[in-house]
Amino acid sequence: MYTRKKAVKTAAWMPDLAHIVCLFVANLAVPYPICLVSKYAGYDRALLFSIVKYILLLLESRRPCDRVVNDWPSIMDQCASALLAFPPQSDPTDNEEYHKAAVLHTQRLSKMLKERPKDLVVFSTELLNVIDPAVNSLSYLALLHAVLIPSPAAQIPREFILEKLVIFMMRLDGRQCRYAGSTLLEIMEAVGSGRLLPVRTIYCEEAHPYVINMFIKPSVAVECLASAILRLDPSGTMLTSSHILLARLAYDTDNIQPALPVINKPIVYYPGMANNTNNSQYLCDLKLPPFSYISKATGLTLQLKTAMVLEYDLTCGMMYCARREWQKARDAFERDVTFPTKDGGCSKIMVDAYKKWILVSLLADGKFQNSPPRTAAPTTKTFGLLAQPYVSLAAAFTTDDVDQLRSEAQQNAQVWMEDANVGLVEEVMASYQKWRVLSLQDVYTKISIPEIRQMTKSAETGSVLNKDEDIEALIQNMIIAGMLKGVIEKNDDGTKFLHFLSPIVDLTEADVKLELKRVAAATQNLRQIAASTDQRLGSSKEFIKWLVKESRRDKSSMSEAQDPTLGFEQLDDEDLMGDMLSS
Amino acid sequence: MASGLLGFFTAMEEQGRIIVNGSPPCASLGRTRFDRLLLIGQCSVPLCLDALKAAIAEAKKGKDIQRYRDAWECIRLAAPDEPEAQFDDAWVTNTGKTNKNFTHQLEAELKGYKNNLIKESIRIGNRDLGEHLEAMGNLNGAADAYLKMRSDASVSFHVIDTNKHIIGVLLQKRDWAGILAYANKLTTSNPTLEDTTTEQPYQRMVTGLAYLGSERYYEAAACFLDVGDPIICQRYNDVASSNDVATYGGLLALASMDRDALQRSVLVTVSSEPRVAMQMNVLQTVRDYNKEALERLRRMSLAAADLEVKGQGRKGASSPAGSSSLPGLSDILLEESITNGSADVIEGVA
Repeated sequence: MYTRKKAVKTAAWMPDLAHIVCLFVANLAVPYPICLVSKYAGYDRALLFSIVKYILLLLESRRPCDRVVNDWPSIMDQCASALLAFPPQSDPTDNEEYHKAAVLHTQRLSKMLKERPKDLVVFSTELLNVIDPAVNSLSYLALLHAVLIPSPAAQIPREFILEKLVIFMMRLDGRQCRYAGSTLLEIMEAVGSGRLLPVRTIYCEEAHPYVINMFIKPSVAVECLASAILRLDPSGTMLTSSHILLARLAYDTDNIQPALPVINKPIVYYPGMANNTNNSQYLCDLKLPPFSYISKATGLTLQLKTAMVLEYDLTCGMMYCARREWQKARDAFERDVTFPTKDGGCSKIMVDAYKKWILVSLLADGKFQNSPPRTAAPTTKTFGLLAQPYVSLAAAFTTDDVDQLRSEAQQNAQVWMEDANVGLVEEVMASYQKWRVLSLQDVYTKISIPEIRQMTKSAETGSVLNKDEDIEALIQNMIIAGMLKGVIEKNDDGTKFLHFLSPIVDLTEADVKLELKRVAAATQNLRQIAASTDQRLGSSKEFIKWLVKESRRDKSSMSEAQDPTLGFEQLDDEDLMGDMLSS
Repeated sequence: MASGLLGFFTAMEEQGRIIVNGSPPCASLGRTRFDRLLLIGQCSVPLCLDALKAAIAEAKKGKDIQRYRDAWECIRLAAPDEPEAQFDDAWVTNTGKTNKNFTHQLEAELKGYKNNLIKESIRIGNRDLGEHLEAMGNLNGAADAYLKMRSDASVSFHVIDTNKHIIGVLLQKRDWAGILAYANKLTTSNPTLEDTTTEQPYQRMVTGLAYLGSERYYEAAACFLDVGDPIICQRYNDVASSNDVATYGGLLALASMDRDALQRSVLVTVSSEPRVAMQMNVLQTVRDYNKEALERLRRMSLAAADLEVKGQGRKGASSPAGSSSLPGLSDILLEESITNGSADVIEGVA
């Protein structure tokens, strides 16, 4: 090869420089230094030296530079211009224009990926430097895909690609990526598998400060995936296959915190819902509900199986358990327990969720009800049969009979072990005394500490605590944790009293206002969801049939001179929360 | 506790008075200030001395010699060593003299007005004399003077004003039946909306006090609960503070009303606490509504996506054998891998 020979030859009379140049030549992934070196090979040493120095500088900073761009080989030029062609300069709010351009661009990209994936890999280092992931998300994604799928390209430094991958996941443009389809999904799957990005190691030191921050946190993969999911669907109300990957990854690697922004969102939509006809709307329309653009058809999610949905809620519940957020855990398990069933069916995941639900509702409310409302009758029966030890434990928990509780817990130790609920049962036993103290407020407004000590027993030892100080510490902890509203007062003769307070007193005006705002926002959110669901169902065949039938019946009933107001009146859309929001 | 105080309280207890060991709410307002202070001095152990001293200072600010004597009598028994326990003879004679002179002066002026036959002046003269006599503690004289105002009243406002003055005296005389009669007269005069809003609180308050005094607790409770705007109540702090109204209204209602009536009249009207609670309840309701609505939408979506758990009829559920005969158990493997981890995580956290 001409270039290679010349460069090596030129370098021969200058050992240091030769070494450097040889390195460049050997490294095919960095083609432009070769071009430069070869071009100026015939000129004097000083010039060559300065050029190489400049190249070194460039490489170090890895920043695109006009001069270098001018010297790019033509193939890369082509690639770059093709990749930078989208988004168009025109008004980005024009959905039709945007849609057309996006579709064209994706076609071009897939053609490019198919026809010359090698070129893309070769030039990817420079191209990734030129392209802004937040602006040219689609092109950036295509490059990453070429480099990473099926496996990371060997000739490019791994940390460099991963750094770019992280930046992309944190900054991608959700609107553009609606067109990305399976390309994005594959990248997300690769991240979600936990193989690509480190789950808990500090990776590279000389990177973008933003990235360094990311890498120091032990959860890059989880955080990236969570960010990408929310960037694609800011409302987070649609369950996708990526959610399930995220939940699994976060739970398995114990990186729960970064997954919370996704996990905390209430799920309302599932892929593959019937009547999901996209009425000639453009994917890029920002007003679209998530189920219109995230579907199997757009390639942004896989079709989910029932077990996966159940698994997601179970995993969420266990994540909350690990964080000791019992209320949220209870809600998550409750979603599984009340999962809709057909023909008396019941999944083993549901039974497991039920067992955990019993324990967690003891921790969250100190109470136990047989099954949450809305549980299907046959399912309740199954639960009763399969979770008998849990039910009796819960029944004993709500009484003062500490020996009964202890014997229930000890007799069934094997069961807890098999169901992997030992930790939760221990938590339940530890919280028993706290709930007993709380139940005292049904009778007393003020009670002395020694009396509390005599009246409540610890489920761990089965007897009363030894010292008043112990029970006082227990109560203090409960007050600090917000479980108990009360104060400990000291009498003149030194006896300490626990004074129970009313549960609503400690809300200030500002708190109430904040809470009002939050609830109003939630309601507003709900309205949007309801509206899009209405739209979805309104266009279904069954509904239209029913509507036609209704209107016919209306007419016939009118002719029979019945009271017309019995039919459906036009319902006013009453704006109850509007005033609150505007104020 | 000082031995003097102990002796004093023993004496008070023997007189059948109530002894309070805690500290009372400090709501001493208006012309009832002296009475309240004296009462606190007679009842409350921790505040006794301070309250009595304040009562003496309060009495010395006024013209009523009898009040001073009462307060002095108490402090003499409770704490004979205090400087306030020395009887201030000079002040008593001095005040007595001034009072007498001022009474003569007012009477002379009134005579002059009567000669001139100017109705409004006569009315004002009578009022001034009444107020002076009332301040001196000569309640009967004051009542007479106020009664004379009536004949010169020309507008309904004057009548109401007269009645209020009389009620004020009657309150001090603890003449409950008289108060009731006069309080009724307050309402008879053809009321406008404005009158009702401004006069009703006063009328209700005094009627309530009168009923309370004559031990008709249910009526008293009804009156206190019906008082109305607390801001207007504050103008009549010399009769009862809005705090008193709320406290006594609540207590009386608890004592005399049945639960339905309590719910209807107490929980809906008095004090802001129920309002706060109600607001929180509304918030909670909205929150529950949101949660419920989301849950329903979710279930609908699950059904639409055909994701329900499917069974094979009822035989699985009714079989007692347990998991082996349960339908939908293709997920055993998946589930095991999940649950095995749960104990670790939780124990790790614990």
